[in-house]
Amino acid sequence: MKSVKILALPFALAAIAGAAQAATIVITSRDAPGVGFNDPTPVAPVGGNDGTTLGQQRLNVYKYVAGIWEQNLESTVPITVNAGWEPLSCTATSAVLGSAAAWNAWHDFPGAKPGTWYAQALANKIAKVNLSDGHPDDGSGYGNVDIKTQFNINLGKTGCLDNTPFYLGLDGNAGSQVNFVETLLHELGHGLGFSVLAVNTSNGWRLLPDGSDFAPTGGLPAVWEGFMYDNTAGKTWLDMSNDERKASAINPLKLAWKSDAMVAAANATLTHTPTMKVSTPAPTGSGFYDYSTATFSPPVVTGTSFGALATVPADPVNGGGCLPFDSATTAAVVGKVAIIDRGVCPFTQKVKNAQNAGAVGVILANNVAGALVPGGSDPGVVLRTVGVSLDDGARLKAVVADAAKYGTRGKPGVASDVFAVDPSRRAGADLAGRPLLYTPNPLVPGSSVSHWDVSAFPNLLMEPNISPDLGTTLVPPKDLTKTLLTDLGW
Amino acid sequence: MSILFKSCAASVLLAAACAASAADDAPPAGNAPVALGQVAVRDAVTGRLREPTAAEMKALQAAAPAPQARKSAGATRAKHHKSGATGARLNDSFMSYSVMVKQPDGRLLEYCFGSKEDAEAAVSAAPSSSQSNPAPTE
Repeated sequence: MKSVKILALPFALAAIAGAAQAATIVITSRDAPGVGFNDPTPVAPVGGNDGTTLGQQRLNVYKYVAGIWEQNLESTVPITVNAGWEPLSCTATSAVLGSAAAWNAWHDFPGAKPGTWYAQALANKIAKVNLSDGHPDDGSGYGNVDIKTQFNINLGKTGCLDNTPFYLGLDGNAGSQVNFVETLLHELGHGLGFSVLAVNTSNGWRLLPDGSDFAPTGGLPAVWEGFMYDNTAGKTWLDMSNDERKASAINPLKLAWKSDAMVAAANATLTHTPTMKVSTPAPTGSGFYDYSTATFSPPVVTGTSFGALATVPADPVNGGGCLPFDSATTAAVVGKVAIIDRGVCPFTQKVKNAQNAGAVGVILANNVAGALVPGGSDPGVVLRTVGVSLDDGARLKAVVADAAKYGTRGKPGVASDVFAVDPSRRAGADLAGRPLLYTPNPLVPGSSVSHWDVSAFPNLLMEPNISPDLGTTLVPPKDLTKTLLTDLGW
Repeated sequence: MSILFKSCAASVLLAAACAASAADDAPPAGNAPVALGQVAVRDAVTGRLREPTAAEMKALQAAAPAPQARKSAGATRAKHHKSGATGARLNDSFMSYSVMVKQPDGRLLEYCFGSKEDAEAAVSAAPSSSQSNPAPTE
């Protein structure tokens, strides 16, 4: 087994000075000769990675990312990461890039909260000893490591995300390739403890004390649970039943990370919440309305006008906005922002029909509870398009109807809409300024809860969508990753 | 005599019984599938448990699945530390998976899933399914 120990110098310096000791990360490989880290294929240096073989460049990225984590963590116990390059699932247009996890977990070690699960790297840090030291290996050769990782050795080859390999540069200029630095940085975050780990979010069950399985009774909580505050239930996961945890995991925009340090960090990191500010001549209805920009929309710029609002009639049979607009609907929406209900046909079809009728924008109203991020793809769509919740959609339609009463017979009153910010809230945080965890409904097992919510802005490293605009800074005012880990005990 | 079996169920073929081995300091519990077991068979005539004959052992070995190259892909393993701490080596069900999906317009979208099943569903359904793209399309 190839072992590469990096950045050992901080150990010696800290020991001399008696200062907090920067973490050291030890990378081991399970690749066979000529494979993965050992691939001898000659390559040209790229983006600050001066390796001259494919294997060297892969290892250099691991070392670079390990170095980022080392600069952010403190531990007297080396953190061990095992790596392998293996064939993983692919098609020509998609691929599993890789995976990672805490490979050992502990509870009831010195310094731990009693009866509480921790990822091993963090447990070792708190206990100041390698808890797996001396334990027989499981036969794999890496059974005692803190973090297991594997990445796709075929990425970019024919049939495996064709012509889109990992970008092995260290400068972030991945272009049309897959930025391996960001992917590995994110996945190692999970392995270090950015994961609820010991709760099955499908049923709220906890991991048994021997780690053998999740069970309805007898399981132990994860260290995460004391920080996971559900605004609907009014309590943390630590105090919930299985059913309450199950419900909380699919309670959109209500589950937050509760700590004073995190509120301060979020206040420094997240922008004020982008919102639509609606004005109406009617006595009620003016105010802020949350929205999510459609994935196929042109950019929405805060401070710009969206337009006067109009409603597209509901159509339970064909779906609102699914058919080309008739003359009455066309007259209603021309030059205005069309409010259309979700349902029956693709979002892009509804927007295209509004566009053809002369609308200047579209608001898609959800037909189930929760926020709506309209997805899809149609290069022909040029209208700015946003999604709103079921409740806000109903409110906006009522605003349009009420506004009409406050005009003249020849010129009904209209409600208008601008893109603004709500100065009382942060993007991706609850009303108390606590950043929200990812709780879509339906559940995405394992992904739900163990990431920040996608409403966070600027984008954060530990959101489920790994955005191309991320950097490598893990602390405020750029990111909240380190703050969460510090809350846990890092 | 001890033989590595995928599970005790393998020995049921010959009415054998499995017992957890003291050689393994961390026997899996619950519904964990891997066990290191001593082997006995129930005699068809007397109904009593006894050691298998050479022929029965050969048949058992042939019926048992080959030992996994990486046992870590299977059950978790309990661990103990002299401090009183208890832990477990986890398994692949605890993994997070990064998936990249190329959209019809050429954009690359990267997602992190918490299970192999979700990750592979996203890969096989790419590029237009709601599984591969957290944003619904209709």
